[in-house]
Amino acid sequence: MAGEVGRFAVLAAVVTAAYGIVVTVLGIRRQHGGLLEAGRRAATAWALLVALAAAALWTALLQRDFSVRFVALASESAQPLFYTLTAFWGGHDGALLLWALILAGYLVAGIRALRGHPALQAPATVVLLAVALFFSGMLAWASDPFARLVPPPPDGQGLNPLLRNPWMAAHPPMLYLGFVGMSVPFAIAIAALVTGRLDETWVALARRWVLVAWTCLSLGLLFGAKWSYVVLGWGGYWAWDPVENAALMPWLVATAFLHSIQIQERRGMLATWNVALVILAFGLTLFGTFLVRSGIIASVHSFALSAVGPAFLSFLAVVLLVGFGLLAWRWDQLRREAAIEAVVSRETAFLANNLLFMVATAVVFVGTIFPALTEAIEGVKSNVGPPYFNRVMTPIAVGLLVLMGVGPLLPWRRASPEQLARNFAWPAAAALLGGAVLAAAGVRTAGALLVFVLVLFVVATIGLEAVRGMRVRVARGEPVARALGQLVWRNRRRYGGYTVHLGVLLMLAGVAGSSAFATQSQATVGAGERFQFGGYTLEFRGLDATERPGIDVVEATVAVWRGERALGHLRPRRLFYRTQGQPMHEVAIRASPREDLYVILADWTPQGRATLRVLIHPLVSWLWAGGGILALGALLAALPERRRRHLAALPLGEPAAWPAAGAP
Amino acid sequence: MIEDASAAAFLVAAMALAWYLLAPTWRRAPVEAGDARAALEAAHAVALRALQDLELDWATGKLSDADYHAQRATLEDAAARAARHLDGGGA
Repeated sequence: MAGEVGRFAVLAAVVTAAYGIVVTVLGIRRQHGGLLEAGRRAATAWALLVALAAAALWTALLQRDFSVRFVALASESAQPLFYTLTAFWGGHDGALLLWALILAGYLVAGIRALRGHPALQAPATVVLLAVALFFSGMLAWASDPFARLVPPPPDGQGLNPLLRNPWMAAHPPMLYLGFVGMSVPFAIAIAALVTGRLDETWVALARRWVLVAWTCLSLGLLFGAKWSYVVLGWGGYWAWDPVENAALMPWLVATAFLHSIQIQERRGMLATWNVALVILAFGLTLFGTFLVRSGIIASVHSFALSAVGPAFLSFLAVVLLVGFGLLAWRWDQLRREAAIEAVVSRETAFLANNLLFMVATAVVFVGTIFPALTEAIEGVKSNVGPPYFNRVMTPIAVGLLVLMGVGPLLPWRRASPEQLARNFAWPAAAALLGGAVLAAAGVRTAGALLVFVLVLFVVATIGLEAVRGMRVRVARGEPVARALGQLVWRNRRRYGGYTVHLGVLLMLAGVAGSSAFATQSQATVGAGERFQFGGYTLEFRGLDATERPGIDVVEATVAVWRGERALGHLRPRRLFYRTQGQPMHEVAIRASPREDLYVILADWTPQGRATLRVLIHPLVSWLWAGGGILALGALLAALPERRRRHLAALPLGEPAAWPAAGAP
Repeated sequence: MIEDASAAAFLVAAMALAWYLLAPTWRRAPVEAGDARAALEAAHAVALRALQDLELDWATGKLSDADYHAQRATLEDAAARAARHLDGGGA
């Protein structure tokens, strides 16, 4: 029954989306409020129908209804409840329904957020319903999650063991929240182009949606990295895999947009560029899905291949043609008279930042599609591999790191040499001093040392900003703690951005530390034997064979000491999934801010000897902590600001309230 | 029997959906206005935020007095222009 309900809901969703597009277009043409209301109702109904379809699929999974092909492919009787629920996105058809379900939420929220902007709301509704029509159409005809199996098998094949991990349970929904979230700013941008309302309104409306999508995409990427780290058993978290790159590209473009809209808001420049970035970011989310789903490029993450690639490519072509076609049509209207007044200014820093982000996007794009290109040209797939990405992306990342420190300390329009000296002397001195201390402490790898010095420089610039801002408030009589709180709260866009930067800095330090100083060793030991590595003493205590539902488990117990201090036991495991006949690692990790001790049960003998692979990854925890700080900063920057009605409400620069420029 | 009941339930659901979607089309409601005011509010908000940023930049020593006064005059003019239009009825 759940299958029938789901199928009905999907078909009804297709009809509803098509109807919504028609009545909204008619409503716009005839200026008919009733038709526009019908279009908005269609959007709500589409969202409810997709939610109904999703509920039907979850019901089929929970009922173990193996007559539904998707349920038979993605679940089995012995599967725990949690992974039965997350099996929803463990296969292509369900993943596409998850996409539609998230779109349903964005569709309703996006249209609701445009209530005060009826001229933008109507065309944005058409765009969002067109995206909805595409995805529900795919669910109805190309990727049906409710297709039947006749006769139904006695049991399912079960969820891919690689996906039975909490990080992988969270990774796809978070990534899709980012991917699908880009459809709302895209719809707003297209609505602005169609109506010619290209003033500050669309930028203000789109910014918050891009920020939400960007944050989800950031966390989605991070969850995927964490999954790779704890599940794949190779000790790494990023491999420049096509699927990773597919999510990174829209993230890079959205990051460029979040910086460049500040130039448009402040100086009225880059209006055309900003529209182009929003179109490109949405296009890249579709391109990423095409890459993942089409199977044209092999990936360790491609768990859910299907033949929907051509449809995605066609839809992507339509999106780009319509988007950039409208942009060309409005080109003259978008052109602004404002120009950069001086080379050394915040505008220039933002422009350089955008240039680097776009170069990075192009580098990742070329590297990702390289196998498909070589296959088309030479008939053989060739990969460029991580060395290409690392070699090209490292200088770009260093450039962005420099700009992250320099940009916020530069004023808009122009900077004088005296201001530059005053603003950069302390951060530069702090960074150099920190670099000298690190070098003296034994950090001699040039690349890592450069990254650490730059990280220190940026941290110092942010610290200097906060201290100066706080002192201004303290001079007005506020206590220090309140001054800091008020400074951050009243300037949450700015300080939210700085907090995001702090998160990124932690992550970069984590990447530099774990890449440059990771070490590993391997030992084959019998029960009671010890070996030493990287300051740790490890004693193998023995092997145990246990069982979980559908899984045979072999577990090694390893006691760990650092010097004389006992750190407890680590238990690396190998899991054998009976239905899939697939072995899996369950890595044991002892994490600390300084380093991770990462132990893998590589092999064992019938006599009870075990081969243990041990890795030490310095600063990996900083990567995950940085992600959390990044999300907090983005949340702060996305919070609505208190609306002031009058200039008098601003704390302007009266001498009694504000000290003179540059005063300590 | 069960299949008949299911078909009837789907039919009722489809009819309810059709009624929900079609009902507004019979009403000749005027199209809401408000974009012009929203645009002015956005322009006003952008100018005020830029002024606030400018104040902080100046107070923390990032720009000279001359640049500060020049930029402040431009931004105040933009904010005041938007406020005048808003107070005059939202364009």
